[in-house]
Amino acid sequence: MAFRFIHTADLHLDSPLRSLALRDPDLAELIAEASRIVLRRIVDLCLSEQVDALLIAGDLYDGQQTSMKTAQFLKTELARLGPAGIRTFIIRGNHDAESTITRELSPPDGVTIFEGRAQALPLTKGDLQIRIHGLSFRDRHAPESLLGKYKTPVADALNIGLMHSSLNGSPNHDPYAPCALADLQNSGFDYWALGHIHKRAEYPGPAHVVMPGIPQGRDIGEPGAGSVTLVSIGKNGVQTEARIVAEAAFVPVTVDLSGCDDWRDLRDPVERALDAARLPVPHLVARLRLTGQTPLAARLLRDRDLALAEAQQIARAMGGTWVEKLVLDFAPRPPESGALGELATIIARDIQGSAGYEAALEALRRDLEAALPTSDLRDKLAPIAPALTEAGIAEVLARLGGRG
Amino acid sequence: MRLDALGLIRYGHFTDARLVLPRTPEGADLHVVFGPNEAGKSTLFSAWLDLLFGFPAQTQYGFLHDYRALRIEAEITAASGPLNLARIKGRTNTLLDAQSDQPLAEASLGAALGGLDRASYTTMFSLDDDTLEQGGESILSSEGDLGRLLFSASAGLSELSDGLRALQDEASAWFRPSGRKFTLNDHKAQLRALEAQRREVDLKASDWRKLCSAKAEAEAQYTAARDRCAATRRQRETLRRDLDALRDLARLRKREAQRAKLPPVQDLPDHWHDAMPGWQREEAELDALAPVAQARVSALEQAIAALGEDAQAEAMSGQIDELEQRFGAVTKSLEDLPKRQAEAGELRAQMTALVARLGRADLTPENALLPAATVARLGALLEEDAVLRSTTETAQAEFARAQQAMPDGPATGALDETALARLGPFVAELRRADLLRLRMDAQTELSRADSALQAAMDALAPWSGSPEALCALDLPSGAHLDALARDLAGAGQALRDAQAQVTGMRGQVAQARAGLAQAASLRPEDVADLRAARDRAWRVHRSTLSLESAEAFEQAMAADDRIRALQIDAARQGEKLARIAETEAALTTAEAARDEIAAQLAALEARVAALWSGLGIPAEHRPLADFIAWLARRDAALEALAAQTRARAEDAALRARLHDASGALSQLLDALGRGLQDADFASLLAEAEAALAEAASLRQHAARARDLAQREAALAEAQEARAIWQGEWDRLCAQSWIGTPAPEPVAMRAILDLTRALAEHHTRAGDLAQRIGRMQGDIAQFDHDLRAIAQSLDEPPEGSGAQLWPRLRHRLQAARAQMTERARLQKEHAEAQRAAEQITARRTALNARLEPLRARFGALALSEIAATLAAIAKAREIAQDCAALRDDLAQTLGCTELEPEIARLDALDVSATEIALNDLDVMLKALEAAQQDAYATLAAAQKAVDTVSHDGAAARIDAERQTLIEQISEEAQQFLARQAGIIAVEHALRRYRDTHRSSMMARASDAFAMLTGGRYVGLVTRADGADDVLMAQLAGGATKEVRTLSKGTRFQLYLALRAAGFHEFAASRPTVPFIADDIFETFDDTRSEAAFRLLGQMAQRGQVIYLTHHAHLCDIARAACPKAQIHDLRTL
Repeated sequence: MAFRFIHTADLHLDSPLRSLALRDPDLAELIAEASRIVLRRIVDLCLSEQVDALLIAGDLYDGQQTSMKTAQFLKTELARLGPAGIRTFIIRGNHDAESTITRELSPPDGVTIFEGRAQALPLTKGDLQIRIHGLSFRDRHAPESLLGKYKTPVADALNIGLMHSSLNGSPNHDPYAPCALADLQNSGFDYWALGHIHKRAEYPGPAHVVMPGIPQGRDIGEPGAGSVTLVSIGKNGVQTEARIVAEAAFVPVTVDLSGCDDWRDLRDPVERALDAARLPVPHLVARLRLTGQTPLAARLLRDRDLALAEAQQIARAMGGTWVEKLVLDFAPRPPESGALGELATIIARDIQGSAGYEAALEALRRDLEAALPTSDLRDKLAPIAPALTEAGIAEVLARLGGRG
Repeated sequence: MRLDALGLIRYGHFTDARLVLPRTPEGADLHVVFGPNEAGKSTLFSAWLDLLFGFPAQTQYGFLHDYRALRIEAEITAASGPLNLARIKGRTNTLLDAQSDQPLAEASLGAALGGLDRASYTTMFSLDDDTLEQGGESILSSEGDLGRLLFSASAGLSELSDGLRALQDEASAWFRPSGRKFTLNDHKAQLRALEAQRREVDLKASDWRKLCSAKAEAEAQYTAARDRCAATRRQRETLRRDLDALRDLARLRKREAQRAKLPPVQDLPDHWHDAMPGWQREEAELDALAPVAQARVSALEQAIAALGEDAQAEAMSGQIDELEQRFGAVTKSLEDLPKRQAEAGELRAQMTALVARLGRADLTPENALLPAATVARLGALLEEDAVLRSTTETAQAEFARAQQAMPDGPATGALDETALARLGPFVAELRRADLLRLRMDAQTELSRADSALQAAMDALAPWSGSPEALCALDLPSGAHLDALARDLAGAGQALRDAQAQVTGMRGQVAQARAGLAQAASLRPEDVADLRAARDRAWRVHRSTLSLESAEAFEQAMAADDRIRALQIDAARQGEKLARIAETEAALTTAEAARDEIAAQLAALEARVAALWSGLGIPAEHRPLADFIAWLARRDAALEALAAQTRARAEDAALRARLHDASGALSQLLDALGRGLQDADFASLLAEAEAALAEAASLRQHAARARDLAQREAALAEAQEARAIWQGEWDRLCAQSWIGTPAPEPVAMRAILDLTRALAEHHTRAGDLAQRIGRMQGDIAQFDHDLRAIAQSLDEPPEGSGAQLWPRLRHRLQAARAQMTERARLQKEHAEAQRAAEQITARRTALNARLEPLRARFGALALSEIAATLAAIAKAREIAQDCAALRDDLAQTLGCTELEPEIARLDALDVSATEIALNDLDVMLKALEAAQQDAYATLAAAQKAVDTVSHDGAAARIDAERQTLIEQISEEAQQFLARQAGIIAVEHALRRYRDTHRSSMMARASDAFAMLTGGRYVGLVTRADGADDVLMAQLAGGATKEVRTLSKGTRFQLYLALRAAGFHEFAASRPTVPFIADDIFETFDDTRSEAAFRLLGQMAQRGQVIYLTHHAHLCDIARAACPKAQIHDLRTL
């Protein structure tokens, strides 16, 4: 007899995917609602696995989210669990604290949302006694550890804690209720169901600590096949299993073009690399990085759009595979000979870094900045990255070179 | 770097071809390579590029040689020293040392090329018609921008300006600071549209809150209104109930009064009441039916009594019926009898006539009859007689014929059938084969083949020998000889051409030298004399002005002009000497070439001589054509030899067959004992045929003897059968009245016919007599029976049977009618009797059922009992009604004790209550309307909350918006990057212009002036903002924008710029060979010469190779640049 539950966090329902691949209307049709598909899949998994509970450790929504339809959807899906005898326990995360819809919807039967004060809710499974500990912090920022605020674990019972925490800190995530892993492991709990960091991590120890990761990554910065964690706790300890639920996986794929001399040679390596990158998800969205020693480098620089279209076509023919972008990453070529080489030399020696050039470029950037619609977009262009300039010069020279 | 020699070892249509470009000791390194179309100029250029940069993956020059076998070699002088290279096709190590075939590093060439790749070599150091034209166009598209022009001229990148413009257009289509219509703006508009769309489909939390509170308020209002309505309704109900109760109470009291007037309720059997109507109906029916039934019975009894009867007739009824059946037959017999009796008399008369025809007085119709068996047997014998007669005649005739056919004399000799069976087919086969004729044909053929072979061998002279020796000769193939003949013809022609060239050049040299010698022979005093003579003539002419003086002056003038021309020639002696030296050098080269060709020709002729000596025939001046003809004759001889061999074999085969056949025939004849000693094939065959003929004649004789014996036996048999027949015939006649002697068959046939007719008549007469007897008996019997019946019925027996019979029959019919009527009446009477009895029984049963009622209510009439029963039932019904009304009342009032409530109701003021009720109705209507309004409000609020769906429309729009932002971000980065590149290039071009303008402008200006033949004096620039614009300066000093120049002039300007670019490059780096491919197509000869001078100037700096298919350009090139070397591709 064991207590079985599914642990997830960071659903970020209806938070849009960020990928140029969605410019393909076919793909957009398929995965624009990926976060919803994944929630439905999680609920289905609970039902098919006949677990005892579903634990969601924060960040149901995004901060700026104001659509009640999102909340309604969550409510509708969770309402399927109550009749099956599956309890749901939710704490709020930093994004939920910002979101105005969090407070508006009454939870359906069988769903418990922990409030600002710590609670330890009793459950029984056969002769097992279980306590579910939870605490929702009200504010967007939680600068200090919340561990001290939790109730002390109950003796002779399995103590499972839900906590939204950045742990010791993570590069891509705001610090939130930071907490040392060692403190959690020595807290006397049996299992810590964490949330906040989008990359899955598992720390076995006196207390089993799991960061389940985002079940549906939203861009190439959240790569791989998202999963939830199926946990079984009993007298024999803790068993966990990551179950992939993602609808789409964003994956960086490197394609080595060494030895490709002809444009038609591109197909095989691209196909091989995509094939090797396949994951057990319905849709793989790849960012292709082309690299290696190849005489095609110049032509790729010149005909990048064509190359992208062809790569997308190759992917499409494979089924369930999509290409969002090509990154050209070729070793710097020796300075080109002849007159264009001379022009390149003049640019590198005399033009780049010259005041006149920088001023002309900056004036153009300002004009563009004024025309851009959002601050995010504006921020990305200030200042102009030197790599961007280099890439632009290389591309223009390649295109002026024409033949070859 | 310069190209010293290019070897096209296996490339395109070339095999082992080699183009040598020797360096001139000093001066222009200009090479003009001449070749007509398709001679391989482009192949040459391509080979040069492939040598330098390797074969491309797909080459079009592998059509003759296998791709893997392609090979180019080159001798190159690089800064580091001479290189001898080879290039093969492959993936790696394709650059080899030509001598050792060891792979060389590409870097060894890369250094010599100064890092140029294939594309930049092609653009910078080659020029053809197309690129010249594009260059001219680029002057237009550059809008005269100096930086672009100078750069693209030295880079050879004619499309630079177009490329830059395309990039700029592309960028400004996405965004430009001053403008409205560009992609970024479209994106922004789309973004706004998406946001608006999202607002439309989405529901915010604040709106949700508003919906929820509106719903709660509506709910409260609705509850209040509903409660008020309910209270009022309850109040109204109470009043309405009291009024209803009062009405019920009145009804109760009325019913109770009705009840009091009826008899008390009693318990009676349930069925009485129900059955009463049936009983009443039954009684009334019985009262009506009984008298009718009785009257009918009496009427029928009277009718039966009135009917009478004829008992006598009825008793005889069976017998009369039986007579009735016979009456018809008897009547018919009476009519028929006389006819039958007449018939019998007629028959008797016929029989008597038949007997008379037999012609025998002793016979009567009775004894003239013959027994049937005798008649039948005599008939059969008559038939047999005809058959026997014909059989005997046939047998006699055949026997006579067989006797005649039998040949005279006996047949002798025995037959050996076994030997004959083998001999027959064998002889037939030999006849078919006709071996003797075949043998004769073969011999004729053989002698013909012998003589043909001899003739063919004779034709081979001067060669002589046996046919076997001829077969053994080893001789070259036809193809080899054809090639040799072609080579000989080619070499002969080449030698003649070369000789003509040498002769021509020698003539040129001699002529030039003669001119020189004449000029050298001129002495100054002769010049002065002539001049003085001319002046003198002039003076004379001026003074006289006559025709003679004019002619004298003209002659003096002409002599002076001639001497002056010689003088000028002498002044140009040095120049001419140089030209002679050049021509002589060329002559030496031509002579050497001629000698080489002569040597080749000699070598080929030596090969022909070798062929003759191989046959053992002295070869002097025997041409190759004769050898080829001799070979054809040899083939004919070999063919004749083969024919002879075939004929000989055929003859031998036939001889053998004849021998075998003779042996076999001899053996077979021996077996028949007819063997012939030493006979030839023809005799043997004749003997065998004779033996076969004898055997056939013996077989025929035996067959005829067998036939005669058979015929004789058949005749004897027929005669015996005739004797037996005659015996039986005589016996039968004797036994009957016919007697002996027996008549002939013809007479017998008539007797038999008459006897048969008589027997037939006799039979019919017997039948007729019997029938008449039977009819007479029947008539007598009927009459007897009729009279007996009449007697028993007391009828008088007067009259005949026919008169008596109808009377009897009428009496019987009357008696039968009376009997039938009585039976019918008796049956009806029995039925009427039964109906009357039934009515009586029903009445008894009814009275039994009514007995208990009469006991209960006294002996009343049935209708009175029914009335009493109905009253009791009514009373029970009203009592039940009352109880129900009381229950209703109690229920309406909601009480258990009814009496106090009744008292209260009795005290109630009805009209006051009705008024109060009316008021309440009005109030309730208002309240209900209010409640309905409140409900509608609530329903709307509820619906607003309920219809908040959870669809993903807003999320989808978010996704679309996010994708658009990603796209803008990506495109903005790309835009900036490209702009950074474009701006950098533009700045760099200006920098290039500033660095190179002084040197390049001077050169380009000079070159332009030269190419335009002085129409333009040079190039100048005009400042235009940060850029400088190139202008062409006319001879008069005016300037013209370069883009307004004519097309031809633009070509010249581009060429001038390219030349300046070449010089600019050469000033700072080692040069590479410059290849021009027929770029002067549109130039006239003057321009072409100027252009060659320009190339000559370039060739001072580095190697220049000009490829052309115009022969006259070679002369122009030589004139413009005497050091230029001409190479003819056809000699490779």
